[in-house]
Amino acid sequence: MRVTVQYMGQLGHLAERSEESRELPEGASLLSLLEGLSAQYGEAFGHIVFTGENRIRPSMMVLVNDVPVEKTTPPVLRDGDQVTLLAAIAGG
Amino acid sequence: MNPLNAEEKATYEWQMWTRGFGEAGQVKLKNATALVSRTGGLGGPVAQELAAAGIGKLILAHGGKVKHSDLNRQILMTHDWLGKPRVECAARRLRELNPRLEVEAVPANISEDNVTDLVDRAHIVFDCAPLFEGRFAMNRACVAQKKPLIDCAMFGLEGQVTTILPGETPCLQCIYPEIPPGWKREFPVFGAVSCAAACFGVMEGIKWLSGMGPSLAGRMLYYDMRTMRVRTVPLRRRPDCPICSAA
Ligand SMILES: [Zn+2]
Repeated sequence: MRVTVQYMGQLGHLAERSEESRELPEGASLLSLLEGLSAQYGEAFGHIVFTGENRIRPSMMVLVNDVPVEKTTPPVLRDGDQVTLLAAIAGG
Repeated sequence: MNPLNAEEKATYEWQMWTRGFGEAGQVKLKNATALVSRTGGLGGPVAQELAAAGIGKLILAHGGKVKHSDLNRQILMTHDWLGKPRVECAARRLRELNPRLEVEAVPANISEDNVTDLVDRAHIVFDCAPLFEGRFAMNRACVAQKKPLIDCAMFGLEGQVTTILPGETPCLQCIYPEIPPGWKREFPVFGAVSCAAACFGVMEGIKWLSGMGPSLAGRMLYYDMRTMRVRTVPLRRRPDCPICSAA
């Protein structure tokens, strides 16, 4: 299945893209997608997305099809889902 | 409330034609005080638009002196003021734009030491600080004093704005319970990107002050000028938020 991932804040800077399409195995979870992205885009990316205990950081906003997900119980993804990762920003 | 004088009626005539605003809204704006934290790429245009729209008083808090690297975006800073205090330059330019405006220039950034007093003297606070420590300090003070906080932020070609109404909406630490890792004081920035966040934030503030009501209470507006995508995302209060759960 394919999902679209949109990056905002420093994540787009680190991944050097605003958006991409990813091929995932059927029934893949949001958590496994984020783990894959963190492995690909490096330590700084992973540090923004995950806590040391491999939980999605409370300061990260994650949307699936424009709906914020409950980070403590990340959902299973479906073909065509649009995942948006919003990293906190404070620039003035 | 102090009414409008003839000069003010002439100056604000066109904006008073706005549906729902009118002379009553303008009078409320004239009698209002806003605190703007920093007058850089974001806070500069916030202060400028508030001054142009006829707010009565601005309290500006910004430390440091004008540097070359400020001048790509900090539109209240001028080349002839390099090496001199930023907040003085901002106050000077705002008075040129609106001589009726009362400006209090505080030559320091918001910190735990000054935040309670500065928030106390304002009706509304515009958060344009570049570090989460300063943003969290303003959030705590605004929640404690039940003052609205317009939170504007940007990075690269992206920006975001939300309106925090203590007791009604999520506070900043409902959204960010911790200081997010990896955020640095220096960040990629174009002036037009921060200016856009400033303008969204100013209109939220003007709507709240004039009684038109804010639209981003409990929602975060995000925009990305690379893709020109704009969206708003619902925000949730955190029942265990240490800052606002008792508010
Ligand atoms: Zn809160």
